Amino acid sequence: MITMIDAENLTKYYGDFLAVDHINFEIKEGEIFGFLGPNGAGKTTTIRMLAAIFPPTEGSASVAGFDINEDAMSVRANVGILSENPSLYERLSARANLEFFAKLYDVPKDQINTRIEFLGDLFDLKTRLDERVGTYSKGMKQKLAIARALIHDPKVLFLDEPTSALSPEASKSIRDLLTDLAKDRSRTVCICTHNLFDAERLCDRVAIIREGKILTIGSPGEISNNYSGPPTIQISFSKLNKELVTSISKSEGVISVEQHSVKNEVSIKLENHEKHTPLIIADLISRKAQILEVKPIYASLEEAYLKLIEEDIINGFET
Amino acid sequence: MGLRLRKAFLLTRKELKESLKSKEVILIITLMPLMFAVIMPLCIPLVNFTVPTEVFTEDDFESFPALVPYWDELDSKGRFLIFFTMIFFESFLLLPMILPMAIAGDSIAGERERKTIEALIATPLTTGEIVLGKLMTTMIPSVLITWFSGIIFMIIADLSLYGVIGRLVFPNMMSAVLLFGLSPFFTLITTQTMLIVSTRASGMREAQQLGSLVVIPLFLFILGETAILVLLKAYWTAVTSSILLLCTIFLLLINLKIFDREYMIASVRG
Repeated sequence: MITMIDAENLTKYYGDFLAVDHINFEIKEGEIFGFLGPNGAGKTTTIRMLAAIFPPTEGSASVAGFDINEDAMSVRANVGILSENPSLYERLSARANLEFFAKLYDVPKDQINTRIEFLGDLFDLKTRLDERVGTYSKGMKQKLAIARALIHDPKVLFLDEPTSALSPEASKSIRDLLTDLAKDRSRTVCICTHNLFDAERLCDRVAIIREGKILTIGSPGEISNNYSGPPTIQISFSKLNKELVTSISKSEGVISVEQHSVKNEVSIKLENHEKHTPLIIADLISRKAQILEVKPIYASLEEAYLKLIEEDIINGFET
Repeated sequence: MGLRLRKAFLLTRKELKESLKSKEVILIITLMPLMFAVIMPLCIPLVNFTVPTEVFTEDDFESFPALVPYWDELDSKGRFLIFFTMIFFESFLLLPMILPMAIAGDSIAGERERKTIEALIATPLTTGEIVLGKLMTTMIPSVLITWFSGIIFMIIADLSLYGVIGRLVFPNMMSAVLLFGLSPFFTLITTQTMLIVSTRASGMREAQQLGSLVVIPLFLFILGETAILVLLKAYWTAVTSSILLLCTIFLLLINLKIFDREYMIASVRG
Protein backbone atom coordinates (compact mmCIF):
# COMPACT_ATOMS: atom_id res chain seq x y z
CA MET A 1 0.00 0.00 0.00
CA ILE A 2 1.23 3.50 -0.87
CA THR A 3 2.40 5.72 1.97
CA MET A 4 0.34 8.91 1.79
CA ILE A 5 1.79 10.72 4.78
CA ASP A 6 5.31 10.23 6.03
CA ALA A 7 6.39 12.47 8.89
CA GLU A 8 9.99 12.56 10.06
CA ASN A 9 11.00 14.39 13.22
CA LEU A 10 8.16 16.83 12.75
CA THR A 11 8.66 19.60 15.30
CA LYS A 12 6.98 22.89 16.02
CA TYR A 13 7.96 25.63 18.43
CA TYR A 14 5.77 28.66 19.16
CA GLY A 15 8.44 30.95 20.53
CA ASP A 16 9.96 28.92 23.36
CA PHE A 17 6.97 26.62 23.67
CA LEU A 18 7.45 23.19 22.14
CA ALA A 19 4.07 22.27 20.66
CA VAL A 20 5.11 19.21 18.63
CA ASP A 21 8.19 17.27 19.63
CA HIS A 22 10.04 15.33 16.89
CA ILE A 23 7.23 13.00 15.93
CA ASN A 24 7.52 10.23 13.35
CA PHE A 25 4.71 8.28 11.73
CA GLU A 26 3.41 6.93 8.44
CA ILE A 27 -0.14 6.84 7.16
CA LYS A 28 -1.12 4.62 4.25
CA GLU A 29 -3.48 5.29 1.36
CA GLY A 30 -7.09 4.49 2.30
CA GLU A 31 -6.33 4.54 6.00
CA ILE A 32 -8.35 6.43 8.60
CA PHE A 33 -5.89 7.68 11.17
CA GLY A 34 -6.78 9.46 14.39
CA PHE A 35 -4.84 11.80 16.62
CA LEU A 36 -6.07 11.51 20.19
CA GLY A 37 -4.92 13.63 23.06
CA PRO A 38 -5.89 16.17 25.66
CA ASN A 39 -6.29 19.87 24.84
CA GLY A 40 -2.98 21.46 23.85
CA ALA A 41 -1.39 18.09 23.05
CA GLY A 42 -0.28 19.25 19.60
CA LYS A 43 -2.89 17.49 17.45
CA THR A 44 -4.13 20.58 15.61
CA THR A 45 -0.63 21.93 15.12
CA THR A 46 0.39 18.59 13.62
CA ILE A 47 -2.39 18.58 11.03
CA ARG A 48 -1.81 22.25 10.24
CA MET A 49 1.83 21.44 9.45
CA LEU A 50 0.79 18.41 7.39
CA ALA A 51 -1.73 20.53 5.47
CA ALA A 52 1.11 22.99 4.75
CA ILE A 53 -0.76 25.84 6.40
CA PHE A 54 2.48 26.72 8.13
CA PRO A 55 5.92 25.11 8.09
CA PRO A 56 7.47 22.97 10.82
CA THR A 57 10.33 24.41 12.87
CA GLU A 58 12.29 21.20 12.32
CA GLY A 59 11.77 17.97 10.44
CA SER A 60 9.74 17.32 7.36
CA ALA A 61 6.84 15.35 5.97
CA SER A 62 5.67 14.16 2.64
CA VAL A 63 1.93 14.40 2.02
CA ALA A 64 0.32 12.94 -1.11
CA GLY A 65 3.80 12.71 -2.60
CA PHE A 66 4.78 16.34 -1.98
CA ASP A 67 7.17 17.73 0.60
CA ILE A 68 5.51 20.19 3.01
CA ASN A 69 8.67 22.32 3.15
CA GLU A 70 9.63 22.24 -0.53
CA ASP A 71 6.24 22.20 -2.24
CA ALA A 72 3.65 23.58 0.15
CA MET A 73 1.40 24.77 -2.70
CA SER A 74 1.06 21.26 -4.17
CA VAL A 75 0.37 19.86 -0.71
CA ARG A 76 -2.39 22.44 -0.18
CA ALA A 77 -3.86 21.65 -3.61
CA ASN A 78 -4.07 17.94 -2.79
CA VAL A 79 -5.50 18.03 0.71
CA GLY A 80 -8.80 19.13 2.18
CA ILE A 81 -9.05 20.48 5.68
CA LEU A 82 -11.74 21.11 8.24
CA SER A 83 -10.25 23.39 10.87
CA GLU A 84 -11.31 23.89 14.49
CA ASN A 85 -13.76 26.57 13.34
CA PRO A 86 -15.99 25.87 10.32
CA SER A 87 -14.45 29.01 8.68
CA LEU A 88 -17.48 29.67 6.49
CA TYR A 89 -18.52 32.96 4.92
CA GLU A 90 -21.79 33.41 6.75
CA ARG A 91 -23.03 36.34 4.67
CA LEU A 92 -22.86 34.22 1.52
CA SER A 93 -24.98 31.23 0.52
CA ALA A 94 -23.69 27.68 0.92
CA ARG A 95 -23.50 27.44 -2.86
CA ALA A 96 -21.40 30.63 -3.09
CA ASN A 97 -19.06 29.26 -0.41
CA LEU A 98 -18.59 25.95 -2.23
CA GLU A 99 -18.25 27.63 -5.63
CA PHE A 100 -15.55 29.99 -4.36
CA PHE A 101 -13.43 27.18 -2.95
CA ALA A 102 -14.04 24.96 -6.01
CA LYS A 103 -12.58 27.72 -8.19
CA LEU A 104 -9.63 28.28 -5.85
CA TYR A 105 -8.87 24.55 -6.01
CA ASP A 106 -9.17 24.55 -9.83
CA VAL A 107 -12.14 22.20 -10.06
CA PRO A 108 -13.01 22.21 -13.81
CA LYS A 109 -15.76 24.77 -14.54
CA ASP A 110 -18.15 22.23 -16.03
CA GLN A 111 -17.87 20.02 -12.94
CA ILE A 112 -18.41 22.64 -10.25
CA ASN A 113 -22.21 22.53 -10.22
CA THR A 114 -22.32 18.73 -10.36
CA ARG A 115 -19.90 18.55 -7.45
CA ILE A 116 -21.90 21.08 -5.39
CA GLU A 117 -25.16 19.22 -6.04
CA PHE A 118 -23.50 15.90 -5.17
CA LEU A 119 -22.15 17.21 -1.87
CA GLY A 120 -25.43 18.99 -1.11
CA ASP A 121 -27.19 15.68 -1.57
CA LEU A 122 -24.61 13.76 0.44
CA PHE A 123 -24.83 16.10 3.42
CA ASP A 124 -28.57 16.62 3.20
CA LEU A 125 -28.18 20.31 2.44
CA LYS A 126 -29.50 20.33 -1.11
CA THR A 127 -32.72 22.21 -0.40
CA ARG A 128 -30.87 24.92 1.51
CA LEU A 129 -27.82 25.42 -0.71
CA ASP A 130 -28.99 28.86 -1.80
CA GLU A 131 -29.64 30.15 1.71
CA ARG A 132 -27.26 32.31 3.65
CA VAL A 133 -24.91 30.23 5.82
CA GLY A 134 -25.65 32.58 8.73
CA THR A 135 -29.11 31.04 8.92
CA TYR A 136 -27.71 27.49 9.30
CA SER A 137 -27.66 25.52 12.55
CA LYS A 138 -24.30 24.56 14.08
CA GLY A 139 -24.58 21.01 12.75
CA MET A 140 -25.41 22.21 9.23
CA LYS A 141 -22.41 24.53 9.28
CA GLN A 142 -20.20 21.62 10.30
CA LYS A 143 -21.55 19.50 7.44
CA LEU A 144 -21.02 22.36 4.98
CA ALA A 145 -17.45 22.82 6.22
CA ILE A 146 -16.78 19.13 5.59
CA ALA A 147 -18.40 19.44 2.15
CA ARG A 148 -16.06 22.36 1.45
CA ALA A 149 -13.06 20.25 2.44
CA LEU A 150 -14.24 17.63 -0.08
CA ILE A 151 -15.10 20.02 -2.93
CA HIS A 152 -11.94 19.22 -4.93
CA ASP A 153 -12.02 15.51 -4.08
CA PRO A 154 -8.67 15.63 -2.26
CA LYS A 155 -6.37 12.64 -1.85
CA VAL A 156 -5.90 13.40 1.84
CA LEU A 157 -8.48 14.80 4.19
CA PHE A 158 -7.61 16.45 7.54
CA LEU A 159 -10.52 16.87 9.90
CA ASP A 160 -10.33 18.56 13.27
CA GLU A 161 -13.19 17.30 15.47
CA PRO A 162 -15.42 16.36 12.51
CA THR A 163 -18.40 15.21 14.56
CA SER A 164 -18.41 17.94 17.17
CA ALA A 165 -21.73 19.81 17.20
CA LEU A 166 -23.45 17.05 15.27
CA SER A 167 -26.49 15.04 16.31
CA PRO A 168 -25.99 11.27 16.75
CA GLU A 169 -27.58 10.59 13.31
CA ALA A 170 -25.46 13.23 11.61
CA SER A 171 -22.33 11.90 13.40
CA LYS A 172 -23.09 8.45 12.13
CA SER A 173 -23.61 9.67 8.58
CA ILE A 174 -20.23 11.47 8.74
CA ARG A 175 -18.56 8.32 10.07
CA ASP A 176 -20.16 6.27 7.28
CA LEU A 177 -19.10 8.82 4.70
CA LEU A 178 -15.50 8.86 5.91
CA THR A 179 -15.40 5.07 5.93
CA ASP A 180 -16.71 5.03 2.34
CA LEU A 181 -14.14 7.62 1.29
CA ALA A 182 -11.32 5.59 2.76
CA LYS A 183 -12.40 2.08 1.88
CA ASP A 184 -14.17 2.54 -1.45
CA ARG A 185 -12.29 5.51 -2.83
CA SER A 186 -8.85 5.00 -1.26
CA ARG A 187 -8.79 8.46 0.27
CA THR A 188 -6.62 8.96 3.33
CA VAL A 189 -8.43 10.50 6.27
CA CYS A 190 -6.67 11.99 9.22
CA ILE A 191 -8.78 13.17 12.14
CA CYS A 192 -8.12 14.95 15.43
CA THR A 193 -10.63 14.10 18.06
CA HIS A 194 -11.48 13.99 21.73
CA ASN A 195 -14.31 11.64 20.90
CA LEU A 196 -12.94 8.20 21.74
CA PHE A 197 -16.18 6.56 20.65
CA ASP A 198 -15.66 7.98 17.16
CA ALA A 199 -11.99 7.04 17.15
CA GLU A 200 -12.76 3.46 18.17
CA ARG A 201 -15.39 2.96 15.50
CA LEU A 202 -13.80 4.96 12.71
CA CYS A 203 -10.02 4.75 12.88
CA ASP A 204 -7.85 1.97 11.54
CA ARG A 205 -5.03 3.29 13.71
CA VAL A 206 -4.69 6.04 16.27
CA ALA A 207 -1.79 7.96 17.73
CA ILE A 208 -2.14 9.12 21.32
CA ILE A 209 -0.35 12.42 21.80
CA ARG A 210 0.53 14.32 24.93
CA GLU A 211 2.69 17.43 25.22
CA GLY A 212 3.69 17.16 21.57
CA LYS A 213 4.97 13.57 21.85
CA ILE A 214 3.39 10.43 20.45
CA LEU A 215 2.87 8.05 23.37
CA THR A 216 1.68 5.15 21.24
CA ILE A 217 0.44 4.26 17.78
CA GLY A 218 -1.70 1.28 16.89
CA SER A 219 -5.19 0.05 16.11
CA PRO A 220 -7.76 0.86 18.80
CA GLY A 221 -7.92 -2.88 19.62
CA GLU A 222 -4.14 -3.20 20.00
CA ILE A 223 -3.93 -0.15 22.20
CA SER A 224 -6.82 -1.37 24.37
CA ASN A 225 -5.19 -4.76 24.82
CA ASN A 226 -1.73 -3.41 25.44
CA TYR A 227 -2.75 -0.86 28.02
CA SER A 228 -5.79 -2.38 29.72
CA GLY A 229 -4.81 -6.04 29.96
CA PRO A 230 -6.83 -9.10 28.81
CA PRO A 231 -10.61 -9.00 28.47
CA THR A 232 -13.05 -9.65 31.29
CA ILE A 233 -15.20 -12.75 30.76
CA GLN A 234 -18.88 -12.15 31.25
CA ILE A 235 -21.18 -15.14 31.83
CA SER A 236 -24.99 -14.90 31.88
CA PHE A 237 -27.10 -17.60 33.57
CA SER A 238 -30.80 -18.33 33.50
CA LYS A 239 -30.50 -18.85 37.25
CA LEU A 240 -27.55 -17.90 39.42
CA ASN A 241 -26.88 -18.96 43.00
CA LYS A 242 -24.16 -18.35 45.58
CA GLU A 243 -22.62 -21.82 45.18
CA LEU A 244 -21.93 -21.23 41.53
CA VAL A 245 -20.25 -17.90 42.27
CA THR A 246 -18.13 -19.50 45.01
CA SER A 247 -17.07 -22.34 42.74
CA ILE A 248 -16.06 -19.89 40.00
CA SER A 249 -14.01 -17.84 42.43
CA LYS A 250 -12.16 -20.99 43.52
CA SER A 251 -11.36 -22.03 39.94
CA GLU A 252 -7.81 -21.96 38.58
CA GLY A 253 -6.53 -18.64 37.21
CA VAL A 254 -9.37 -16.50 38.58
CA ILE A 255 -8.24 -13.11 39.81
CA SER A 256 -11.63 -11.72 40.77
CA VAL A 257 -15.34 -12.37 40.32
CA GLU A 258 -17.99 -9.72 40.35
CA GLN A 259 -21.63 -10.67 40.61
CA HIS A 260 -24.20 -8.29 39.13
CA SER A 261 -26.95 -7.72 41.59
CA VAL A 262 -29.85 -7.28 39.16
CA LYS A 263 -28.93 -9.51 36.24
CA ASN A 264 -27.92 -13.14 36.57
CA GLU A 265 -24.43 -12.32 35.42
CA VAL A 266 -20.85 -12.55 36.64
CA SER A 267 -17.76 -10.74 35.36
CA ILE A 268 -14.54 -12.68 35.80
CA LYS A 269 -10.98 -11.41 35.57
CA LEU A 270 -8.57 -14.18 34.62
CA GLU A 271 -4.82 -14.54 34.54
CA ASN A 272 -5.05 -15.98 31.03
CA HIS A 273 -8.48 -15.85 29.47
CA GLU A 274 -7.65 -18.18 26.57
CA LYS A 275 -6.44 -20.91 28.90
CA HIS A 276 -8.77 -20.52 31.89
CA THR A 277 -12.15 -19.71 30.26
CA PRO A 278 -12.72 -23.29 28.90
CA LEU A 279 -11.85 -24.76 32.31
CA ILE A 280 -14.41 -22.60 34.10
CA ILE A 281 -17.11 -23.34 31.53
CA ALA A 282 -16.44 -27.10 31.81
CA ASP A 283 -16.69 -26.89 35.59
CA LEU A 284 -19.95 -24.93 35.40
CA ILE A 285 -21.47 -27.46 32.98
CA SER A 286 -20.52 -30.30 35.30
CA ARG A 287 -22.43 -28.45 38.03
CA LYS A 288 -25.45 -28.28 35.71
CA ALA A 289 -25.38 -24.50 35.55
CA GLN A 290 -27.78 -23.09 32.94
CA ILE A 291 -25.47 -20.86 30.91
CA LEU A 292 -27.11 -18.43 28.49
CA GLU A 293 -24.11 -16.55 27.16
CA VAL A 294 -20.34 -16.31 27.54
CA LYS A 295 -18.60 -13.27 26.09
CA PRO A 296 -15.25 -11.56 26.43
CA ILE A 297 -15.52 -7.84 27.27
CA TYR A 298 -12.56 -5.97 25.93
CA ALA A 299 -11.43 -2.78 27.58
CA SER A 300 -12.51 0.28 25.66
CA LEU A 301 -10.09 2.62 23.97
CA GLU A 302 -11.21 5.19 26.52
CA GLU A 303 -9.91 3.08 29.41
CA ALA A 304 -6.62 2.50 27.63
CA TYR A 305 -6.34 6.16 26.71
CA LEU A 306 -6.98 7.35 30.25
CA LYS A 307 -4.53 4.83 31.65
CA LEU A 308 -1.86 5.83 29.17
CA ILE A 309 -2.27 9.54 29.77
CA GLU A 310 -2.30 8.98 33.54
CA GLU A 311 0.89 6.86 33.35
CA ASP A 312 2.56 9.52 31.24
CA ILE A 313 1.65 12.23 33.73
CA ILE A 314 3.04 10.12 36.60
CA ASN A 315 6.22 9.36 34.65
CA GLY A 316 6.54 13.04 33.93
CA PHE A 317 6.39 13.82 37.64
CA GLU A 318 8.87 11.09 38.48
CA THR A 319 11.42 12.28 35.97
CA MET B 1 5.15 30.35 -8.25
CA GLY B 2 4.29 33.63 -9.96
CA LEU B 3 1.38 35.85 -9.12
CA ARG B 4 -1.83 34.52 -10.69
CA LEU B 5 -4.10 37.52 -11.25
CA ARG B 6 -7.09 35.26 -11.93
CA LYS B 7 -6.83 33.77 -8.44
CA ALA B 8 -6.47 37.18 -6.82
CA PHE B 9 -9.57 38.36 -8.75
CA LEU B 10 -11.50 35.33 -7.51
CA LEU B 11 -10.76 36.39 -3.96
CA THR B 12 -11.66 40.01 -4.78
CA ARG B 13 -15.02 38.99 -6.24
CA LYS B 14 -15.88 36.90 -3.22
CA GLU B 15 -14.77 39.64 -0.80
CA LEU B 16 -16.81 42.28 -2.63
CA LYS B 17 -19.91 40.07 -2.57
CA GLU B 18 -19.38 39.58 1.14
CA SER B 19 -18.58 43.20 2.01
CA LEU B 20 -21.61 44.44 0.10
CA LYS B 21 -23.75 42.33 2.42
CA SER B 22 -22.44 44.14 5.49
CA LYS B 23 -24.84 46.84 6.70
CA GLU B 24 -21.95 48.81 8.17
CA VAL B 25 -20.00 48.84 4.90
CA ILE B 26 -23.12 49.71 2.86
CA LEU B 27 -23.95 52.53 5.24
CA ILE B 28 -20.47 54.04 5.00
CA ILE B 29 -20.11 53.70 1.23
CA THR B 30 -23.50 55.33 0.63
CA LEU B 31 -23.68 57.96 3.35
CA MET B 32 -20.12 59.26 3.03
CA PRO B 33 -20.28 59.97 -0.73
CA LEU B 34 -23.73 61.51 -0.19
CA MET B 35 -22.32 63.82 2.45
CA PHE B 36 -19.12 64.75 0.61
CA ALA B 37 -20.39 64.83 -2.98
CA VAL B 38 -23.96 66.09 -2.61
CA ILE B 39 -24.59 67.83 0.70
CA MET B 40 -21.26 69.70 0.81
CA PRO B 41 -21.51 71.38 -2.64
CA LEU B 42 -25.18 72.10 -1.97
CA CYS B 43 -23.97 74.32 0.87
CA ILE B 44 -22.28 76.68 -1.62
CA PRO B 45 -25.53 78.56 -2.47
CA LEU B 46 -26.17 78.86 1.27
CA VAL B 47 -22.81 80.58 1.66
CA ASN B 48 -23.69 82.84 -1.24
CA PHE B 49 -27.01 83.82 0.29
CA THR B 50 -25.88 84.13 3.87
CA VAL B 51 -22.69 86.13 3.33
CA PRO B 52 -23.69 89.71 2.30
CA THR B 53 -21.82 91.33 -0.62
CA GLU B 54 -20.97 94.38 1.51
CA VAL B 55 -18.48 92.43 3.65
CA PHE B 56 -16.08 92.16 0.71
CA THR B 57 -13.73 94.93 -0.31
CA GLU B 58 -11.73 94.99 -3.50
CA ASP B 59 -8.48 94.10 -1.67
CA ASP B 60 -9.58 90.86 0.00
CA PHE B 61 -8.17 88.43 -2.61
CA GLU B 62 -5.77 90.86 -4.30
CA SER B 63 -2.60 89.01 -3.30
CA PHE B 64 -4.17 85.54 -3.61
CA PRO B 65 -2.89 83.23 -6.40
CA ALA B 66 -5.30 82.57 -9.27
CA LEU B 67 -7.40 79.51 -8.54
CA VAL B 68 -9.09 79.55 -11.96
CA PRO B 69 -7.89 81.00 -15.30
CA TYR B 70 -10.48 83.83 -15.19
CA TRP B 71 -9.56 84.82 -11.63
CA ASP B 72 -8.79 88.43 -12.60
CA GLU B 73 -12.23 88.89 -14.10
CA LEU B 74 -13.99 88.03 -10.82
CA ASP B 75 -15.10 90.35 -8.08
CA SER B 76 -14.20 89.68 -4.45
CA LYS B 77 -17.33 87.68 -3.71
CA GLY B 78 -16.82 85.48 -6.77
CA ARG B 79 -13.24 84.83 -5.71
CA PHE B 80 -14.38 84.08 -2.18
CA LEU B 81 -16.95 81.56 -3.43
CA ILE B 82 -14.38 79.82 -5.61
CA PHE B 83 -11.89 79.76 -2.73
CA PHE B 84 -14.62 78.33 -0.50
CA THR B 85 -15.55 75.70 -3.13
CA MET B 86 -11.90 74.65 -3.40
CA ILE B 87 -11.72 74.15 0.37
CA PHE B 88 -14.82 71.96 0.09
CA PHE B 89 -13.15 70.05 -2.72
CA GLU B 90 -10.09 69.44 -0.55
CA SER B 91 -12.35 68.16 2.21
CA PHE B 92 -14.03 65.93 -0.37
CA LEU B 93 -10.64 64.26 -0.81
CA LEU B 94 -11.06 62.69 2.62
CA LEU B 95 -13.48 60.32 0.89
CA PRO B 96 -10.79 58.17 -0.82
CA MET B 97 -9.33 57.63 2.66
CA ILE B 98 -12.55 56.97 4.58
CA LEU B 99 -13.93 54.38 2.15
CA PRO B 100 -10.91 52.03 2.28
CA MET B 101 -10.96 52.13 6.07
CA ALA B 102 -14.48 50.69 6.11
CA ILE B 103 -13.94 48.12 3.37
CA ALA B 104 -10.41 46.98 4.34
CA GLY B 105 -11.39 46.78 8.01
CA ASP B 106 -14.21 44.42 7.09
CA SER B 107 -12.13 42.43 4.62
CA ILE B 108 -9.02 41.75 6.70
CA ALA B 109 -9.54 42.34 10.42
CA GLY B 110 -13.17 41.27 9.93
CA GLU B 111 -12.04 37.99 8.38
CA ARG B 112 -9.98 37.19 11.44
CA GLU B 113 -12.80 38.29 13.71
CA ARG B 114 -15.21 35.96 11.90
CA LYS B 115 -12.59 33.17 12.02
CA THR B 116 -12.70 32.51 8.29
CA ILE B 117 -9.03 33.15 7.61
CA GLU B 118 -7.78 29.57 8.13
CA ALA B 119 -9.83 28.08 5.29
CA LEU B 120 -8.46 30.75 2.97
CA ILE B 121 -4.86 30.26 4.08
CA ALA B 122 -5.23 26.50 3.60
CA THR B 123 -6.02 26.92 -0.11
CA PRO B 124 -3.33 26.88 -2.80
CA LEU B 125 -3.15 30.68 -2.89
CA THR B 126 0.19 32.41 -2.44
CA THR B 127 0.63 35.18 0.12
CA GLY B 128 1.04 37.65 -2.76
CA GLU B 129 -2.29 36.55 -4.27
CA ILE B 130 -4.09 36.92 -0.95
CA VAL B 131 -2.59 40.39 -0.37
CA LEU B 132 -3.35 41.48 -3.95
CA GLY B 133 -6.91 40.11 -3.73
CA LYS B 134 -7.49 42.02 -0.50
CA LEU B 135 -5.95 45.21 -1.93
CA MET B 136 -8.17 45.07 -5.02
CA THR B 137 -11.23 44.43 -2.84
CA THR B 138 -10.68 47.80 -1.25
CA MET B 139 -9.18 49.71 -4.15
CA ILE B 140 -11.76 48.97 -6.86
CA PRO B 141 -14.91 50.18 -5.08
CA SER B 142 -13.11 53.01 -3.25
CA VAL B 143 -11.57 54.48 -6.41
CA LEU B 144 -14.71 54.07 -8.51
CA ILE B 145 -16.96 55.58 -5.84
CA THR B 146 -14.50 58.46 -5.33
CA TRP B 147 -14.32 59.23 -9.04
CA PHE B 148 -18.07 59.01 -9.49
CA SER B 149 -18.70 61.13 -6.38
CA GLY B 150 -16.04 63.63 -7.52
CA ILE B 151 -17.87 64.12 -10.81
CA ILE B 152 -21.17 64.58 -8.94
CA PHE B 153 -19.45 67.09 -6.62
CA MET B 154 -18.18 69.08 -9.62
CA ILE B 155 -21.57 69.09 -11.36
CA ILE B 156 -23.42 70.24 -8.22
CA ALA B 157 -20.73 72.82 -7.41
CA ASP B 158 -20.86 74.20 -10.97
CA LEU B 159 -24.66 74.35 -10.90
CA SER B 160 -24.51 76.13 -7.54
CA LEU B 161 -21.89 78.66 -8.68
CA TYR B 162 -22.97 79.31 -12.25
CA GLY B 163 -25.86 81.53 -11.24
CA VAL B 164 -23.49 83.73 -9.22
CA ILE B 165 -20.31 83.99 -11.26
CA GLY B 166 -21.63 83.00 -14.68
CA ARG B 167 -18.66 80.68 -15.32
CA LEU B 168 -17.87 77.00 -14.72
CA VAL B 169 -15.30 76.26 -12.00
CA PHE B 170 -14.98 72.53 -12.74
CA PRO B 171 -13.35 70.69 -14.30
CA ASN B 172 -10.01 72.37 -13.92
CA MET B 173 -6.43 71.14 -13.91
CA MET B 174 -6.08 71.08 -10.12
CA SER B 175 -9.29 69.08 -9.52
CA ALA B 176 -8.42 66.66 -12.34
CA VAL B 177 -4.91 66.02 -10.93
CA LEU B 178 -6.19 65.62 -7.37
CA LEU B 179 -9.20 63.47 -8.24
CA PHE B 180 -7.95 61.25 -11.03
CA GLY B 181 -4.19 61.40 -10.50
CA LEU B 182 -3.61 61.48 -6.75
CA SER B 183 -6.78 60.21 -5.03
CA PRO B 184 -6.06 56.57 -6.09
CA PHE B 185 -2.72 56.91 -4.30
CA PHE B 186 -4.48 58.18 -1.17
CA THR B 187 -6.77 55.16 -1.37
CA LEU B 188 -3.85 52.81 -1.94
CA ILE B 189 -1.83 54.22 0.97
CA THR B 190 -4.84 54.05 3.31
CA THR B 191 -5.64 50.52 2.12
CA GLN B 192 -2.08 49.34 2.65
CA THR B 193 -1.94 50.94 6.08
CA MET B 194 -5.22 49.21 6.90
CA LEU B 195 -3.75 45.91 5.71
CA ILE B 196 -0.74 46.40 7.98
CA VAL B 197 -2.77 47.36 11.05
CA SER B 198 -5.46 44.77 10.33
CA THR B 199 -2.97 41.93 10.39
CA ARG B 200 -1.99 43.02 13.89
CA ALA B 201 -5.17 44.56 15.32
CA SER B 202 -7.39 42.46 17.53
CA GLY B 203 -10.55 43.32 15.63
CA MET B 204 -12.26 45.44 13.01
CA ARG B 205 -12.86 48.42 15.33
CA GLU B 206 -9.25 48.56 16.51
CA ALA B 207 -8.04 48.32 12.90
CA GLN B 208 -10.27 51.20 11.85
CA GLN B 209 -9.15 53.33 14.79
CA LEU B 210 -5.47 52.70 14.09
CA GLY B 211 -5.98 53.14 10.36
CA SER B 212 -7.63 56.50 10.86
CA LEU B 213 -4.31 57.85 12.15
CA VAL B 214 -2.98 57.76 8.60
CA VAL B 215 -5.68 60.16 7.42
CA ILE B 216 -4.17 63.15 9.22
CA PRO B 217 -0.75 63.16 7.49
CA LEU B 218 -2.42 62.32 4.18
CA PHE B 219 -4.84 65.21 4.52
CA LEU B 220 -1.94 67.55 5.29
CA PHE B 221 -0.32 66.17 2.17
CA ILE B 222 -3.43 67.10 0.16
CA LEU B 223 -3.28 70.67 1.48
CA GLY B 224 0.39 70.88 0.57
CA GLU B 225 -0.25 69.37 -2.85
CA THR B 226 -3.02 71.90 -3.54
CA ALA B 227 -0.69 74.76 -2.64
CA ILE B 228 1.96 73.26 -4.92
CA LEU B 229 -0.53 72.92 -7.76
CA VAL B 230 -1.58 76.53 -7.37
CA LEU B 231 1.82 78.06 -6.74
CA LEU B 232 4.57 75.89 -8.15
CA LYS B 233 2.89 73.87 -10.87
CA ALA B 234 4.06 70.81 -12.76
CA TYR B 235 7.64 70.14 -11.59
CA TRP B 236 6.81 69.94 -7.91
CA THR B 237 3.65 68.01 -8.56
CA ALA B 238 5.77 65.35 -10.26
CA VAL B 239 8.17 65.29 -7.29
CA THR B 240 5.43 64.94 -4.67
CA SER B 241 3.60 62.33 -6.73
CA SER B 242 6.81 60.32 -6.92
CA ILE B 243 7.05 60.48 -3.13
CA LEU B 244 3.51 59.08 -2.93
CA LEU B 245 4.43 56.32 -5.36
CA LEU B 246 7.49 55.38 -3.30
CA CYS B 247 5.37 55.32 -0.13
CA THR B 248 2.94 52.97 -1.87
CA ILE B 249 5.67 50.58 -2.99
CA PHE B 250 7.29 50.66 0.45
CA LEU B 251 3.98 49.83 2.13
CA LEU B 252 3.35 46.99 -0.34
CA LEU B 253 6.71 45.45 0.50
CA ILE B 254 5.94 45.72 4.22
CA ASN B 255 2.57 44.07 3.63
CA LEU B 256 4.07 41.14 1.76
CA LYS B 257 6.64 40.71 4.51
CA ILE B 258 4.33 40.87 7.50
CA PHE B 259 1.41 38.83 6.12
CA ASP B 260 2.36 35.86 8.26
CA ARG B 261 0.11 32.84 7.75
CA GLU B 262 1.02 31.36 11.12
CA TYR B 263 0.36 34.59 13.02
CA MET B 264 -2.95 35.12 11.21
CA ILE B 265 -4.19 31.73 12.39
CA ALA B 266 -2.66 31.82 15.85
CA SER B 267 -4.26 35.20 16.54
CA VAL B 268 -7.77 33.96 15.74
CA ARG B 269 -9.56 33.62 19.02
CA GLY B 270 -11.25 30.28 19.49
